[in-house]
Amino acid sequence: MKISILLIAVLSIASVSNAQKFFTKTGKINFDATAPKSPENIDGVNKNSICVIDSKTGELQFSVLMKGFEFERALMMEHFNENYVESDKFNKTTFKGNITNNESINYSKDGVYPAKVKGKLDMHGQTKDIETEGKIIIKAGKVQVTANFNAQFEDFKITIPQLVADKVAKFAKITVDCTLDPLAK
Amino acid sequence: MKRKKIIYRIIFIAVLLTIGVGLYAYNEYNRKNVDLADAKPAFVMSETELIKEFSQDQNASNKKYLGKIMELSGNIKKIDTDENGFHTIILGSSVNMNSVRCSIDSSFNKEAHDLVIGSSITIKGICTGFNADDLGLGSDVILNRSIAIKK
Repeated sequence: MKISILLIAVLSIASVSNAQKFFTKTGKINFDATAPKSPENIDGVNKNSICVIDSKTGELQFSVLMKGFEFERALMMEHFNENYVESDKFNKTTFKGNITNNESINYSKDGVYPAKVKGKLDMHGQTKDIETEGKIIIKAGKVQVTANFNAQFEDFKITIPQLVADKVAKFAKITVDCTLDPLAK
Repeated sequence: MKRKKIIYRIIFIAVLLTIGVGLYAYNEYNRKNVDLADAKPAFVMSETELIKEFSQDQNASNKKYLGKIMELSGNIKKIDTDENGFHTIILGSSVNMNSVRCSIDSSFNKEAHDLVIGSSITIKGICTGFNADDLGLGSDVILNRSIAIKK
């Protein structure tokens, strides 16, 4: 009886260890490629992004289906998919990287932690190193990741025709806002 | 006199054409996404069949289904709600972890709230792709702008 109580105690302590993955399949990623002085907004949102964080190693991964970006206008969506990102060929964009200051984040304590992120963004068949800063917000057992960075179209071989150069900028401002839940073991 | 008439006629037709082209361009520019309620689906199948096809050959399935209006029947395994109140209906069986995630169209979001887990349902949505199993949580086919239809 005593041994089993001890076993239970040890096991429960072990399961509350730091090795924990957090994930979401409904992460929100916005992009805004509106050129300065453009008469209309060039932006879209994807509400089905996958985001995974390994709180122990600081590994951070995103996976986004390009066809999942939503737009106000059907025409903009068609141009985005057919001409710019060519989603029939390159439907999946991934980011694989790390939170370089992961040790300074306490995933079990509520708070707002600045995060330095570094990794590789694979989009439209091209891979580029991305380095940016964001925030990890721990609240009520959930992990919220917010960050933004710019993706230069040239780096990803995304060509914007001269015709729309007054509306579409040479880069997209990507805004990430994902709230992750613990991955149940 | 005849010449003037011809010229006026030409001008008249030219103006009509310009207005016509202008209207077309305006409508095309402002065209919103198709309302799926009335749209005819490109494919009608069960969620199990769709998951099976994607799991077997992702490339072929992508070519076949990406961007197409799908009408899927299945059971509601779960309903996810994100921080902004948007629902995702997850179709699947309890047998395996694979599912079809149907991101609900904003026009249908309120009604989605009343759906019962475990009930069978028919959903119309646009296929946006496949996420193979990375986390040990099963693979997903994703549908956007989904609405539930009565069958």
